[in-house]
Amino acid sequence: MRVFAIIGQLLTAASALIILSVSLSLVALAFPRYAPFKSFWVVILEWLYTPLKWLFHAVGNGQLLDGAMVRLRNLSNRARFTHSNRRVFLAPHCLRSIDCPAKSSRDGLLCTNCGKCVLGELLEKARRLEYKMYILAGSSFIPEIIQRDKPEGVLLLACSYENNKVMMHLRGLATYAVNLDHDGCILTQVSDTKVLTAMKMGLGD
Amino acid sequence: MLWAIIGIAGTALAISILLAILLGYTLFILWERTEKIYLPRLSECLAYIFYKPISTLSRKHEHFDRYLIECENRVMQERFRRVRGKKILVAPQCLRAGDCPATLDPKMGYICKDCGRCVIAKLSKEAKKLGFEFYIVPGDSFVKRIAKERKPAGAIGIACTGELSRTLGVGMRMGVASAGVPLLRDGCFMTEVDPDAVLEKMRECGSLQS
Repeated sequence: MRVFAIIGQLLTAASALIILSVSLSLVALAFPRYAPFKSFWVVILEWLYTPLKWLFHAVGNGQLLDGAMVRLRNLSNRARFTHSNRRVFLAPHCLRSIDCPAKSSRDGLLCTNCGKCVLGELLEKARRLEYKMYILAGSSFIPEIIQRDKPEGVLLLACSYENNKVMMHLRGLATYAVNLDHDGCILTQVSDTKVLTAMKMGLGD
Repeated sequence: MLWAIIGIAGTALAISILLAILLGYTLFILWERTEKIYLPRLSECLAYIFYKPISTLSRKHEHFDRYLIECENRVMQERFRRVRGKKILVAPQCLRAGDCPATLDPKMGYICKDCGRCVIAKLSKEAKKLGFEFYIVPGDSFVKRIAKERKPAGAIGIACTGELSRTLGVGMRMGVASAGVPLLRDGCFMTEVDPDAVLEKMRECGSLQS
């Protein structure tokens, strides 16, 4: 009986600690700029991702959680990304226009810079800033890119769900993400200014 | 006294969770050895709820995803066979050949030109014969939009194991009688699927008269 009493006290203390951690991590999610120990709250939120996603879906918008986690991760990774040198830029194929003439390859879309969408412009800017850019149709090729190119920094451009998922898998790397302004897998949109600002972080003029 | 009650309840809960995880893992191992799903509803439930710990124990995430897909297919099988009404077949754009001439439509997804360079032309013909609406989708938000707009009674999805195990679970919980066919080779470019496995699923859909 005494053993169970001790277990009971320990469990109660552990439960209180868990409830406190969960509450504080949700506060960090709501006010990411002011949260200390950002990477710690990111870890807590990753553990709780599935039940939190259900909760956010239940109240109307599961994407809110992904967007908020990406913001928190960006703030947590900002310094490391800013100081990274060898960088890779991963953009989604869904930004392409309806009549995009680009061919697909193992390394992603081979953009011809036809001017029908924002990808050509981003490709030019990425080259000037010495990023290795890939326009991808999915995330399963990303581990091969990371293994082959061994980047210090990875700039991601995608919908918040994909950004959060990839950042979770690449948690050892200095990742920084830009969320699309308008998603939906087809004719998606992003402000090129927003992407350029992220690309230039730590690179001066 | 209260601490002891909490201690007993907590210990009982922890042991129950551990046993559930072990049971889920055992059912997965049995499937690996015998290629049979035992107690499909229980297997699917345990694999879905305890996905992270059981897949970590298995150390073969992709294999575990295939197991979860089979469980989900088995659980939905009876409803899937009794489907009446609209049926859809959803294929991923990564099945296309490298020089695919398909055009992209904002409502319908990719429109196959029947060039024969990949398996999609064959799937498209058979889908039409068997009364399925066929979509080649650029991503999973597109699938959600089709499901909301078309409100199918039955759906077959082709995708890589990670995406399929997640999407089938969502489809099940939305009340769509779904079945999944995993890709034989993934990688987001020129992927492969067994067309006979897809045809078999299409013929199975709605095959039982009530």
